[in-house]
Amino acid sequence: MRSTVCVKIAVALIACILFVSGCEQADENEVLYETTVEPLRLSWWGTDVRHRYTLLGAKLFEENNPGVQVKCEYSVWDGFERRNRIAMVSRTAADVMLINYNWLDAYSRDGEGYYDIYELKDIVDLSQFDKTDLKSGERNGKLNGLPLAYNATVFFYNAELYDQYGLDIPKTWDDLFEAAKVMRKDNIYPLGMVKKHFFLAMVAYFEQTSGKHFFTNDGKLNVTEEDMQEILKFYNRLIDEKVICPIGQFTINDFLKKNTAGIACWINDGMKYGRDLEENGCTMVCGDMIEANDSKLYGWYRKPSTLYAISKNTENPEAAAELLEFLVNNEDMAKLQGVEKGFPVSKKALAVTEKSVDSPEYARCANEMLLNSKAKFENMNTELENPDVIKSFQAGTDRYIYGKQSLEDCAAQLVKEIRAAVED
Amino acid sequence: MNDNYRKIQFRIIVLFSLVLLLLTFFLTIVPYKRSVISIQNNFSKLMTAGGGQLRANVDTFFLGTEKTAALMFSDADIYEYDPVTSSLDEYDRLQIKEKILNRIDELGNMGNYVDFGIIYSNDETAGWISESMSTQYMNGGLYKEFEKTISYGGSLDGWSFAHKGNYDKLYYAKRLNEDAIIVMSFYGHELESIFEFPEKISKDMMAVLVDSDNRILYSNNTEIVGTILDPEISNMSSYDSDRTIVGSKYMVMTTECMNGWRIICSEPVSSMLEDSLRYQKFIMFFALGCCVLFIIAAQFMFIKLSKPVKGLVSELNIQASVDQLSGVLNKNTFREQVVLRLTQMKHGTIHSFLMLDMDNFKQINDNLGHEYGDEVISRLGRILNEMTGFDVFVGRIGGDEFAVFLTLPGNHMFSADRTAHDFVDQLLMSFDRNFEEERRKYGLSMSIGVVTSTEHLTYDDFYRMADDMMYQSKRTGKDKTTYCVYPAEGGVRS
Repeated sequence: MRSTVCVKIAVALIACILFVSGCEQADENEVLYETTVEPLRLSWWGTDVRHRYTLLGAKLFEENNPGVQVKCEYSVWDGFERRNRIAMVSRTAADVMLINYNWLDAYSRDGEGYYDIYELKDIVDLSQFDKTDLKSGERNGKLNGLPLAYNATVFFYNAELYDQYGLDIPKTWDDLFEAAKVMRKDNIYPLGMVKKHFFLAMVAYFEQTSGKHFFTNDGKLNVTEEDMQEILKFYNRLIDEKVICPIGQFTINDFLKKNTAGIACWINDGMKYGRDLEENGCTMVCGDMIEANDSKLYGWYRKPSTLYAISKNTENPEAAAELLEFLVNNEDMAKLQGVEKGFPVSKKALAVTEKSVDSPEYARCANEMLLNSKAKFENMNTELENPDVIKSFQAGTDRYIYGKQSLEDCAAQLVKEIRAAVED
Repeated sequence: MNDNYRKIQFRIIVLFSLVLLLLTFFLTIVPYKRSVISIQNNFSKLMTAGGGQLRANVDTFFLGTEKTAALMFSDADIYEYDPVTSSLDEYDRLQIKEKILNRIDELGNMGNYVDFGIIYSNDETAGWISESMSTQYMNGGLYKEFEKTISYGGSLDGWSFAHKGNYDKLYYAKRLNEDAIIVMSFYGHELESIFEFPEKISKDMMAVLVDSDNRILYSNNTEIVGTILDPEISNMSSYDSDRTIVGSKYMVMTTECMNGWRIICSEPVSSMLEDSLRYQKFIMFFALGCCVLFIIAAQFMFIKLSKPVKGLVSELNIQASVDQLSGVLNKNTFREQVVLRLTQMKHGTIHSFLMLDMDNFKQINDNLGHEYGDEVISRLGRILNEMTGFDVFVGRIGGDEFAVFLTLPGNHMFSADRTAHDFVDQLLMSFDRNFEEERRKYGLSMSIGVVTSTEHLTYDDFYRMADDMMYQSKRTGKDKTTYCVYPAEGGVRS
């Protein structure tokens, strides 16, 4: 009896050993390492500050979403517009991309140029945005972009410099001419601006004095050759009376080095100039929007500063939507971003920003001006940011002020080129 | 006898355990050492391959940047333009700058360049010069700063790092003309994906890009970028060759990039052998445990097996040392024990040596037979055995002759002699009680010679002197005891 039990135990043991060894041998292909990397491309333009925090944000998103790899594509604004155009036309745009407001019309007038974010509303929390905010990113009923903040050309001044000359911060074009009379003996210009803001300033002057919009609502040029001649003459006067230096010669350093006492720029750009100016021991203040003495129109526009869009060709819209949600609504991202792009539109991000980001006085002042003057600021016609229009305007005004072309010829050519640019 | 046996047994166990431990040690250490060499060889191959791939990718990245910069030489208007010496008017200068910007827009379109522009010797710039760079050099010095980057005489270009504390950017500069330099910069972050995979070889592997001063130009650990590489690692790196070297703390692989910067991958040896060491420890402890168990089991079996043998040996020992008839020690053993006792005792110890011989024993043999005679001897042996102890040895010297060796307490001869007397008296009383009939019928009695001494006499001295005393008792009438104290204090007493 006892020996029978022993035999049974021995047989059972041998069977177990054979089973275990048999199992190991049966599975010849053993997976040692396996990972699934889901690449997502994110593109933006900007300066060092924006590059650094967006790169940090992308890394944070990767940490929160293992298996997702965010490939970043970025550069300065110069050239990025062309880079974006190539990407859009060649259908190689990044999955999630920062877009400029006018690109909505340039690439998606019918709403088909970008992914419809409404289809991803289960992932992207759209309740953080007001209807008007969403409307600004809509084309043909499709949500093509989520606005990050609102923006407008505003005027920042070096308060010490104006005080030094006993001048008040300018409110009208005439104030600027008066300031120039005082400052030019020291080769200081009351204002400086780069080409896009120069164009918008000329548009404002034109609209304030003529009572006509530069572009009609349907995007047609609403300027005659005579009107254009007036604009060119005004620009020439600004230069002759040393209100501004020729636009091609102006650099940001001129403002920081006190060669100009003011600067026209986007609200969010004010942050970087203010920081550098204050490092030089000066105080930057936000001035009123410059108007003509008898303005017939306000002439200044607001627009979503930038928007995040999802490529219509993305292979992974859900993952792209996750990234988009992170970029616009995530609290950590909001802290990283601060007010670099302006005060956030997303309610959740705005709450974090107001609570944790110490924004300077001039930035708050500019933002309040934009909010309090909603009625005055019209929504920007996207053609006002059309790069071909701005390029033509810059080239034309250069030809005129450097004496390469007569007033009449230059005005005629400009009208022709701008009309062609918007009608294309 | 038992002590010797235990010593031998102990030595065998120690020797056996040592041999077993040494064997275990060699059987675990030698394969471990071999496996360490094998792991290091395989790891070095992996590092060399990974490092080579890393260098190839970094070189591709650098080469792409250099080629892009070279394409600025495709248009003479661009590379010949010199604002310092140019006679062009302001408008034409703006047109050239616009042309440069367009060219850079085209060339840098798909690259993540932070800066891609031209710096002229009057610190004017064209192209994409970031606001951060232009504001940092607002008061001049931009051209001079990047002129220093150009370090290669032939191609008039070079790479640099950490301008104005910008540790997160890498810079490339190439001379465009006598008064112009092309400058390109990009974030080290661009190398992240390139450096990521070699670092996946091991959790503790570190891959860094360093310059000739061992300053870390790029690492996926941003905290160490800009610092000097740990000297323990940099001292193991090479400058003119690609190599992988292993030391006591690190395995270090060095490979040189096309621009002279080096990629150094390092892996702590402890980390590389972490698993192996764990297995080694497990094997060591397991083997030692087995060893201990084996020794315990072997000891147990040894005891089990040796117990009957030990009993047998013990029995044989007893038989060999004891006289079979009388039960007291045989002559040889008696001698051995007495000699041993004499060597163990300190000088001045008092001993008595007794020689006993039965008188008229022949009458017993003749009248009652030898068997009875043997029984008489046996009974006398039992009487003597009953009187033995730690201080008393009794032996049968031959026939009916016995010897007793006493170690007496105290060091006064008088009291010692008294004790010897008491012993003899007790013996004689016992003899008379046991052999009353034999004494009465056949005159059986005992002649005894006693020698008591404090001197360090030898066994032979004691024996001879006691024998003399015993014969003196015989000669002087038998049935008596003759005492002798040595050295003599008053002659012989009976």
